[in-house]
Order: sequence, then C-alpha cells, then structure tokens
Amino acid sequence: MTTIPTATGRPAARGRRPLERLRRIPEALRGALVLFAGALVALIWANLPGAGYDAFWHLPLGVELGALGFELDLRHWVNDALMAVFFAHVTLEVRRELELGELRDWRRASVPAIAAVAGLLIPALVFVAITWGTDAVGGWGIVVSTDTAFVLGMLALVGRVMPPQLRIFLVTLAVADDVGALGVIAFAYTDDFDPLPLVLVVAGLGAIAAMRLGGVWRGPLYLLPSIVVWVGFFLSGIHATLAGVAIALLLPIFRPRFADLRRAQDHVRAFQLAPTAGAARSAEESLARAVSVNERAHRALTPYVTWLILPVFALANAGVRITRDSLVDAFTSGLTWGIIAGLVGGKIVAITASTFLVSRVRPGTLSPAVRMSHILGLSMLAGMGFTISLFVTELAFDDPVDVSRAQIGVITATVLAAILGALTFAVLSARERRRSPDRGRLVRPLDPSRDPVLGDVGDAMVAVVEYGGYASPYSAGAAEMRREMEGRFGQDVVYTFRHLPDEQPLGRLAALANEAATTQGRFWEMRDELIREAPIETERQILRAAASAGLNLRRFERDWVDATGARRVDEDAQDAATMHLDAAPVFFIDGRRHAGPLDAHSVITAVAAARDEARSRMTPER
Amino acid sequence: MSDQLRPGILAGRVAVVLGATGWIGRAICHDLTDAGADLVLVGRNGERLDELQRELAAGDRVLSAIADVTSQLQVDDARAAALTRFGHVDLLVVCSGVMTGSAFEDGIPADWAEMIDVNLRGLLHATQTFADELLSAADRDLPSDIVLIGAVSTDQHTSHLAVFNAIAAANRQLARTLRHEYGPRGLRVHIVEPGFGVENSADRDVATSRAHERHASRDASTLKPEAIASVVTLAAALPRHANLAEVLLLPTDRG
Repeated sequence: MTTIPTATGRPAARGRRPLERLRRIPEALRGALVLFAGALVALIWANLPGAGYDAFWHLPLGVELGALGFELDLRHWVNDALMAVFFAHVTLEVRRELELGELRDWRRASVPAIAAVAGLLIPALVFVAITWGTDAVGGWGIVVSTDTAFVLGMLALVGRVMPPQLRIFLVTLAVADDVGALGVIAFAYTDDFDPLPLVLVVAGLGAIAAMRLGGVWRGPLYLLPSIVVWVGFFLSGIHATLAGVAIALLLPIFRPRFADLRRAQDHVRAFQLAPTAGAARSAEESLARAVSVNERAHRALTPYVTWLILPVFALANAGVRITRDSLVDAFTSGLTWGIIAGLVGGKIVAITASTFLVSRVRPGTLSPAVRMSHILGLSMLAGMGFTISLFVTELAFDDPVDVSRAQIGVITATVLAAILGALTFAVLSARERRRSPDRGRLVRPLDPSRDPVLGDVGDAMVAVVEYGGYASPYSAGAAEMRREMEGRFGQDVVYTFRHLPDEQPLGRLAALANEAATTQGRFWEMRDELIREAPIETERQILRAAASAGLNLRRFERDWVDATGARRVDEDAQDAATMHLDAAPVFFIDGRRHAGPLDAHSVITAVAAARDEARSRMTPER
Repeated sequence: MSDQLRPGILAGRVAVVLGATGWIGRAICHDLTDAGADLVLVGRNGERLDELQRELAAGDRVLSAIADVTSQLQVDDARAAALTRFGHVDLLVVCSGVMTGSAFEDGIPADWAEMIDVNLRGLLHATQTFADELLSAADRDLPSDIVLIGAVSTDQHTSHLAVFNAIAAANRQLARTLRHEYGPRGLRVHIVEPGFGVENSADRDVATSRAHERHASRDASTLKPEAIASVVTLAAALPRHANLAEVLLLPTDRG
C-alpha cells in the first residue's frame, strides 16, 4: 500500500486579520466607506469650537508669475480643479458604457436610462413644487443626481445576495443620471458667461483631437492641452469641471484589437528571450498601446478619485455647523424639506413607476432576474445624492443660511435614503435566502452520463464544474486549465465543462459544435480548438476548429446541423439562468461557486486547497 | 496518345484531380479533358493551376481549387467548390505525392513525416472527403471511381526509397481493402503502380538536391506520364461491371 503524502496546503482554518478583511471587501464598498469617512470628519471638524473649518477652506492658494497671478481658495481648488478630474472619470465611464458596455444595447439600457431621466425630472418637480414662490427654487439641481460612489457601495454592502443584473441596472442608471447632472451643471448653473476664453478651450480640445488622430497613445502627453482647456473653461465662466467632461469625451476608446494583442505578445516574448531594459520598454509600450487611452486613464484615475478626490471633496463640502438653531431653522424651511422630499420621495416614485411602466409596455426589456421589489429597494438607495448635490449647493446658493439648509437637507436625505434602502434590502435578502437557499451552489451535480469528464468520478476527491463559452479571447486560460487538471491532479480531481453560451450570435452554435464532436469522442480536443479560435465570429472558424481537432468533417457537419447536443446545451443554459450565472466562466468546486479571481492560477489554487482539505478528511490524523 | 480513346468517352463525368499540377497530374488532366470529363484541378500553387487551366483550354469545363491535401479543411473547401460548380463528383484521382530517398541511416525524419503526411494522410483525407459523393453517384447506378496513383514498392532497384516504398505498400493495401468495402456498393477503387525503373546511385545525396534529382530521374525514365494518364482514363471508362483494380505499369526496356 502506498501512503498518501502529508498535505502541503496551509491549515484550513486561517485567522483573518482585520486588515486582510478590509482588503477583501468589494471595491465599491471601500470607495463608499472612504467617502463616508470624509463626510464624517468634515461634520466633526466643522462643529469643533472655533472657526477652523471655514477658515481653512477659505485659505487662498495661487500661483504668481511676475504680474500674472491666479488665486483660488482651497474649497474652490477642490470643487473646480479636483472635481474636474472626478467628472472626467465619470465621463470616461459613461463613454465606455456607451460604446462597449451596457448602454450600447439600447433595448437593455432603455429601462434604466428612462428611469434615470424620470429620476432627474420628478425629484426636481417635487422640489420646485415645495419651494415654489421662494428664492430657494433655484436649487432644484440639488435633487437631480444620485451619488454613484455611495449607491454602488451601499448595494455592495446590502445587496450581496441580489442578482448581479441588479448591479448592472444600477450602474446604467447611475451613469445615465450622471450625464443628466453634468448637463444641469453646464446649462443651469453657469453665470457671467464670457465667450472669448472659449478660444483656449477650442485650441486645447483641438490639440487633443489632433493627438488622437495622430495615434498618440501616451497618456501623460494629454495633460498639457487638458490644463489649457481647464483654464479656458474657468475664464469663460462655464463651470471649470466641465473641462474634465469635454476632455474625457475626446479620449479614444476601442476594444483591444487582435493585431495589437499579437504585437504585445511578440514583444513580451522577445523580452522573455532577452530581458534587457530596451526590450522591457518596448514590451511595456506595446502592452499599453493595446488598451485604449480611455481605459488606461480610467484605471489610472480610479485610485485618486476613490482615495483622494471624493473624500477631500466630502471633507471640504459636508462640514455643516449643526447647532440647535441651525437644525430648527433647516427643518422649518421649505428648502430642506424640498431636498429631502425630492431626493427620497421623488427618486422612489420616479424610478419605481417608470421602470414598472416601461417593463409593462415593452416586456422583456427588464432582466427576468430583476423583480419590482428589487427596483423599489434600488430607488430608495438612489436618494443618496451626496456628492453632486453638495456640489450644486455651492453653485446654486450664495447665502450661507441657504447653503446650510441645503447641506442639512442633503445629508439628511442621504442618510434617510441609505437607511430605507438598507432595510428594504435586508428584508429582500432574508426572503431571497428563504426562497433560494442554493444560490452559489451547483444545481446539477456532475453526472458522467451526460457530462464529458476528465478523470474518474469514482476515484476523485474533488469535482470541478466549469460553465463557459467561446466568445472571448480571454477564456484562453481554459486549455491551461485542462492540462493542469489532468497533469497536476490526476485521479484526485474530476472535471467537466458546461455551456454558458453568451449572447454572441455564434455562442450557441459553437456550443452545439462542441457537443457534435462528442459523438466522435473528441469533446475536449474540440473545446481546445474552439478556444484557440476564440472569439468565434464566423462559422468557418468552427469548421476549422473541427478540422484541427481531427474530426470527420462530414459526420461533424451532420451532427452539428442536427444539433445532436442541443439537449445538453439547453439544459446547461437553463441551469445557468437558474443559478444567475451571467458571465463566463464560472467554476464550481465540489458544488460551491468559486468566488475568487478567474485566472487559471487562482482557480487551480482553489482546487488544490479543496483537494488538500478532502485528503485531510480522508486520512484522520493519528 | 489520348487520341486512341474515343473523344467524349468520359462525357458527363466530373473528375477531381488532387495533385493536378504535378508531373503525372498534368498528363492525367490533359487526358481526362480530352476524354470529355468535367474537371476540378486541385493543387497547392495557384499560379501553376492557372497555367494548367490555360493549357487545357476547356473553358467552363475546368475549375481550379487551391488546396493542400494535408489540410482537411482546404480539401473540404475544394469539395464544396466542386459541388457548387458541377453538382456532383464521380471520379476521384489522387496523384499528389512527394518522394525523398536516401540511405536509411542518413534519412531525415522530417522528410519521412512529410511523405507520411502527403502520401498517406493526405490520401486518406482526400478519399474520405469525397467518399459520400462518390457513393451517392454509385447509388444512382452511375459509374463512380477512385483512382489512386501509387508506386511499385518492391522494385529491386529502389533500395534508397525504404520509407517511400513502405508508404506505397500501405497505399496499395488501402486500395485493396477499400475495394472490398466499396466494390459491393458500386464504387470502383483502382490503384495504378508505375515503376520508373530509374537506378539509384548511392553516391548522390538525394536529400540535398531533391529538385535536381527529381528532374534527372524523370528525364531518365522511359515510362512517361502520358501512359499513366491513359490507364486512368481507361479505368474510368470501362463498363461498370469491370474493375481495372490493380495496374503494374513498367517501362518495357527495364524488364
């Protein structure tokens, strides 16, 4: 008898340090926490004795060059300059969603987009109705926008068991809503307009456009004309943050092109062969070039926006002096109540009602996984109007009393919306858990009578089930996966692949082709070849894969056309829908959904851990 | 030479010739065209295909398809092109092949792999790819033929062609077995084995001057490709009940 070697894995129960836990929380939630911390510090600071808070944010800061001087107080530096970066970041995301993401497909994007429009109009109307006849009516822009960072963070916190489609809905809504807010800021809150400096804007934007046409892809080179654009906007009286919007609109966005990817790969390989500084540089450049400036800029800005700009903005703007008098004053003013009613009530009514109506008029536009109860919870969260609301407050009001009332209104509405949303989602989550306790669990266990398997079901300690497709060239880890499964785990692991056809027109055809190869005993070979051909965009690629897999093409074509594997493909797709799997690939390790990163290395590490655990259970310690 | 056969003897037949631009292939194509068959020329080199098509001067009756027999997919494309143009195929001639030789201990494994790829695997793919069409022609009681051009594998003089001959022997065995399988279904399988009778000289380094060597041996051969072509046409033109199954074609003077 052979003895099983002692497991090399780490002990199963690891102590989780708080720092590690912080690192593991979703990024959206982290962003919201930082923003919240900024607001909290501002509130405490502003209410300390003395006038330190206001005095600090009114400190002037400027540059002087001979007779030329430029000076702003600290708060304006934050609101006009730093926030330009924030709006650029938002715009980059909007553009990406428009060209490559959710908003590209109008049918899918229509419901959240219409909800966003309603969510702009109805709260503004509510506000105007309440404040009608007073000076405060000009503050209607305060209630139009949802705070994207807060609301995504809250959803990550309270909506963890919700279907992922809900997050997509919310992102679309928030992004469309940001577009509206940007428009409001541009058109409703611009004063002292002077067209002459717009020459600078045009020149700067022209330079950026020319660089874009000339194929300049180095991000930092766009910085200088960007500053020119900002100065132009600033001098013209149009809010300077719109410089960020205008610039971001011009930054090119594209899907990674195959030729660029290939070139990058060649350069990286050259670097592997000759690891010199020169080769490293050209590898870096070719890698960067493969991704559009938009995406690189978005990625580069994200940490600054999350960790610096948003919390600093909150710090500079959320510091309301809260005294008995100011509270009494605020809660007896129409302005404060207008904001609360507009943000909380207006958003709930607008989003819920418009979504309900649109999904009734045009059935099928709302993902079946999203129910109206989800939308209700979402509409409550959408009342969190923090960042842009405070931003517009500064633009709309000069009178410190009005500003204070509005700030108290915004903060109250945000807290109220967060509490309402959290409660609703708590109820929904409890119901969801009762209704489908199996979320995250595999509904159909690995079954060798229907699933092609690598390994022996009887001998294996761990079963791995992958749901995947062939549309994306990024599923290339899969071949590696298969080799690892066979070579590294041998008899310990049994592995199967199931179909999660994406909405690519050929997704289902490719899945059927893979099944057709099963009748010739070449499921796995065909899968490897299909992945090699990915993304599958033509039927010819499928035929070529079949030839490369060594299939009898006549038989293959017959089985493919007859859709001999349709039953398995359709069952897999149904199971995937039941389990709310939306993006390939998804791995189940011993029936539990693998939650970590999806690169081959991470998945294999998780499988190894499961194997070690199973092994230690089988060999009780002496 | 083809004048000996009645023109039009293969009228209405659709022939696919793999390796059409080769030394033997060209002669076969000429002969088949003269005999009135529609023709699909399959070869690797587009220019040479064009040239051959011009030479044949048979207008719409000839179609060229670029394909490498070692690529199943390309052969499949050639089949699709043939069916699109002519609707059916009832004569398949496989004369694609490469030949390299040397003393066995000096042999280059890559050359062996190439011969196995082209002469054996290519022939298997090609035959299988067209099998459905040929069988369905046979089902309709039409003459239907597969003609494989092999080689004499037991020639005493070709001691430097051990691997080539081994593959030639495999081809003959394949033709025999397929004949047993397809004969009862009305599809004739023929194999023509020419022996060129070129003596090998042990001094010559065959591998390093293959093209030169080939031309030298071709010129030296007294068996001309036109003779092989005549046999192919004859085999296809015989009445359905008779199969010219195996042909050993030798130069007269070599005995």
